[in-house]
Amino acid sequence: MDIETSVVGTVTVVRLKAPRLDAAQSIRFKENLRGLAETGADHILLDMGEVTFMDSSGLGAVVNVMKLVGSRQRMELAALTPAVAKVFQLTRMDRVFTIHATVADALNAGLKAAG
Amino acid sequence: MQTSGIRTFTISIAIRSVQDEVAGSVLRICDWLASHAIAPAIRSEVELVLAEALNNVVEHGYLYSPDGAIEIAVSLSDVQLTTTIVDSGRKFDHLPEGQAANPEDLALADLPEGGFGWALIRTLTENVTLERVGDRNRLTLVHRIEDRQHVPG
Repeated sequence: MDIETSVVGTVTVVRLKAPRLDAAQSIRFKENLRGLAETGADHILLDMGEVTFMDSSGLGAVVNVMKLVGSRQRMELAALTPAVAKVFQLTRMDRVFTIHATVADALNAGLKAAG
Repeated sequence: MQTSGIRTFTISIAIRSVQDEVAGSVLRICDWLASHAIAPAIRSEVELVLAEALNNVVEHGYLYSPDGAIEIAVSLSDVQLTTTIVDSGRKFDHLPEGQAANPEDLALADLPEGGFGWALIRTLTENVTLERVGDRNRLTLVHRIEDRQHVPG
């Protein structure tokens, strides 16, 4: 899975470039994000705007990375497409993650918290 | 006087127990549903349910062996969509309930990374049944579509 990263202040924005976060992609996703978590990025924002499908394998991979990032760093999500948001809602995992409507919203929230 | 003009359309796909083929078959079925004017919201749910059920066969039925045969058949009528998935993997004893705990009550380290699939399948289908047919597992999933087809968006 390709990812594009950009750093905005203390936030590392990670844009997923694959349309499907599913069983076929979940291992690659975890590998990619593991490296990022280990560089110690303080605040990771997962931009899921290009992901149009996520199943429970994909969700599990996101949880796995969240646990890896741990409580020292923060990981939040942004730009969930409707099908992906639905999976978070049905599994109640939307109560566990901080989910922003857009990357801009997330960055504004982050900047306010830092300032 | 009415003639029983219920038409049923069916698609059948045979794949091997490989995740890329699972994804391919799910996409083909969704395209087929689109060609029959099934609403996007319904197609989205079917896509998820199919992915979950097929992943389960790959992971638990065939234990990730790529050599397993999976037969998928989807029948579409005005009222419902019926999917059957047949495999020759390990005997599938019973349908799991699915996710138990409320994740918001759990500590970060205790969050589940799996086990969501069956709860999703149960929530999004009208009916799920499991049968043993000879040495094969047959899973049948029913989606009701009658009242939902003409809901906009």
